[in-house]
Amino acid sequence: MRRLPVYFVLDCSESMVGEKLRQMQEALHMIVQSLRTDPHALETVYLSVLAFAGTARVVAPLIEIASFYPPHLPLGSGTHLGEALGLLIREMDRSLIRTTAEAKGDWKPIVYLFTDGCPTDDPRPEVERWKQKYAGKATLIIITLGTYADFETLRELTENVIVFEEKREGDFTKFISWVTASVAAQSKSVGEMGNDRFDLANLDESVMKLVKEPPPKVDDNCVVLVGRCTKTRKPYIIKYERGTMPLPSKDFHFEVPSNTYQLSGCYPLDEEYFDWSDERVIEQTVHTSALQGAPGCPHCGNNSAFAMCGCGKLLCVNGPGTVTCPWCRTQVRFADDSGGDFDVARGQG
Amino acid sequence: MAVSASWAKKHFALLKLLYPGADEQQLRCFAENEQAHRIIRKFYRNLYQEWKRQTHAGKDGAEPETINYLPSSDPEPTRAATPDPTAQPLQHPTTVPMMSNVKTPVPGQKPTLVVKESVIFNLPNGHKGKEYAEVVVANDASLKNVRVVSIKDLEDIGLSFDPESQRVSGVPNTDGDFRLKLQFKRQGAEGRQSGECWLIINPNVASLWKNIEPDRELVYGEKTNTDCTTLRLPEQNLTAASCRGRSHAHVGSFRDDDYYIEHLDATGWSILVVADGAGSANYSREGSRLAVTTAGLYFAELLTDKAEADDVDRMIQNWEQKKQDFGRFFNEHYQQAAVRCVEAIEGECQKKNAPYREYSTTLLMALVKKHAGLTYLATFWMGDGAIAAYGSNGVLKLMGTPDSGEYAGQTRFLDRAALKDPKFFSRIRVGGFDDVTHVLLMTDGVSDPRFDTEAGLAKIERWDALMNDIQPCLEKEDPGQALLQWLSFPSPGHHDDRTIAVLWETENTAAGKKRETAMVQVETTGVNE
Repeated sequence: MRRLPVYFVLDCSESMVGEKLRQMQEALHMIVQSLRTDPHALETVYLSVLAFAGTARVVAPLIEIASFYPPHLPLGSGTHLGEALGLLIREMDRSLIRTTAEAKGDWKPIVYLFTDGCPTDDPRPEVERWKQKYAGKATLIIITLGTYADFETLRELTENVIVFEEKREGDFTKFISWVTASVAAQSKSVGEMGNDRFDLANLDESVMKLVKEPPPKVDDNCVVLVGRCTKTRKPYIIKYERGTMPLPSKDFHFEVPSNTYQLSGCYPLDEEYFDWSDERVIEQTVHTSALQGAPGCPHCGNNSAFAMCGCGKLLCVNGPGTVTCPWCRTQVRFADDSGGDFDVARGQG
Repeated sequence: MAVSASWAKKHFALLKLLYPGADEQQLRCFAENEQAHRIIRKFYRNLYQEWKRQTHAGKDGAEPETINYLPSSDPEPTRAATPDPTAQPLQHPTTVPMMSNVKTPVPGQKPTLVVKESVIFNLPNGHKGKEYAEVVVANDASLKNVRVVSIKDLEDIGLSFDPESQRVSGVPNTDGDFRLKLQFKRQGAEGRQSGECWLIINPNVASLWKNIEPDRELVYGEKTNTDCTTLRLPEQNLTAASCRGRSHAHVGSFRDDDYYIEHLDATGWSILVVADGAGSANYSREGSRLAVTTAGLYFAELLTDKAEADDVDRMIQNWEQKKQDFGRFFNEHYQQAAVRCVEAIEGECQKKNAPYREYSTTLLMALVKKHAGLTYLATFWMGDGAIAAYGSNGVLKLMGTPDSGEYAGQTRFLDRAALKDPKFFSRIRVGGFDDVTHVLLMTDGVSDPRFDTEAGLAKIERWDALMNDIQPCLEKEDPGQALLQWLSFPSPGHHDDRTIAVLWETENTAAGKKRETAMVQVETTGVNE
């Protein structure tokens, strides 16, 4: 029985925290649920999930749909695309069955790569390796969530680069239906006609667009900061998204990206986050004057999760007083006056 | 830090003094504003410094009396206690750095306490109707020593939970994705906590395959989903069966395979033809029908003609010398038959104004004559599938090799280009074989699941296994029907139309034959047998 291997390579970097990560988790669940009801897919499709942030790992090895259990997706600092590609190549070498004279092997695999930001490592060597040896052996489809990805690099990997932007309610569902349908169609195509040429047809243009020319580079759209709860020492992540400001115009309502970021959420993390982050990377800073709003602590409910210790890391406080920094373990005293703005180290995104 | 209520009250009092005409509501709001708070506090401090400087300068060395530098009378306990707010704070013996880098939430904004997700437990996937017995485990590996106490709603699925063994077991009676609520407790702790368990039950694959009737209103809509024929003769039997594949049934499209079998009593020839219409071609169901019928009738006519049949008989009887002539005869006639097929399809294309490729089909044929205990065959093989002469004593004569294209699944179809191909004649094979009990033809719907690759076709064990399966069908009253039933065998990933045609000796000729495997020289005894 010939298998149709489908690999999902998912960006689990910090910028995905919150709604985007939840959506990706939900997406995996929905795709598998739909494929389970398609007899062609249920028999031939084998799924595998690879996640990457500051490092890349296989979170679900290649397995038939009937036994596939949607894995828990991690979160980490970094978008190491090069590492992700390297892992994908190794995983394909390890798990794919080639056709021999004796037995027919797997059909040409499909790889769906989801990413939302720019690579934080140098992916060029892996991109070259892919282009030379693997591009012909698999159908690679790259889907960027939003427009802040490095399209030039992505277009080098494959022609199939699609931008997905959720503008309206229901867009996400449409998008997931497209992914499911494309897998189901391929499983039918290989089953019926023995044809594993992939057809990137039927893109719902209202929701996704095929990127033909790399659009001009834009600045990132979010700032993420990591802190630890003073009481429980558990980590959390604060996300700010680039705000928009209305452009005055009497006829239309225009919004342009502003220079400030709005608080979009503060989420609890667990220690796993650090396993997925690359600590070696040089940190950039952001000035707090650009950040609007400050959250409370999601673990203990402290008033502010945005207090910075002399060691440069964030912790939570509940008014003035002396606390022990959960990072460097020294005592820190906070005055009643909140003082002026300051620079804080930001995550790689 | 948010502006506390007492501060806001003090600020409000001050603001009222400063801006008596302003809207009270606005003043209250401003009194709670963080930025305003900072400015006001700075003002207090600066003013107090100056007051201190001036009043202190007036006295000689004495400390100014401790006054509250705030306008209202009730002091803030922590702040009023500080006589000199600009003095350095007390340092602990171990350095306590004073940091003022805090970002505070906007006043009025509640701290974002994110509700912790409920604790998740896992169970491996199950299948509807299949026995299930698995232990439930917590998703979070750091959760040690937890035991699940109870799981809700399992009975609805047909399962039950045993807290002792932590095992869920039973036979699921339904399929779907279930998020089951459960209660668990930690070792050593009292009281129960609630959590969730995700359980996925797969549907029965067979039940997912739909069986939809094709639209009979369409052109060539009379093609049946199944067909079978059996011909019983004194010395041999012929049977053929053809059925629509699951992938076609699932979407309501037609069977694209076809067959033709015939026996010419007058001259003793049997004709077996099978064809597989291309899946991507819209009218290939008619293409296959035209091909098998045209080719079959061509040879029916040819081999009923006494003169022709006698010519061939002479070649058979004088096999060693004449087998080349035998070969040439069938080369020529298979070519003619192929041309007729192409012409027939072209004629249909004209009528319906459709391109030739919509009728694309493969074509496999065998012409068989028994003589003096040997089996003489002339075969034609275009496309995938298989033609073989088989003997239960370990004889296997594969009459060619399947066509395959650039990627698996692509094959060669019968068209003008194929006729002109210099390799055309390599598709035609002839032979005279001893000890052959069966001649089989099949489309790839049967050869793929049973043989998988070209190499598989060469393995006699696979043919033995196939014969093992179909022999019981051949022994039935109605072998055609029996084969048709057999053709619906499940094979994951193989859902193509399936067609098989078999010629086999009847019992009384097969029994009692003990042959050497070496070729037997046939002597010329006469024109007719």
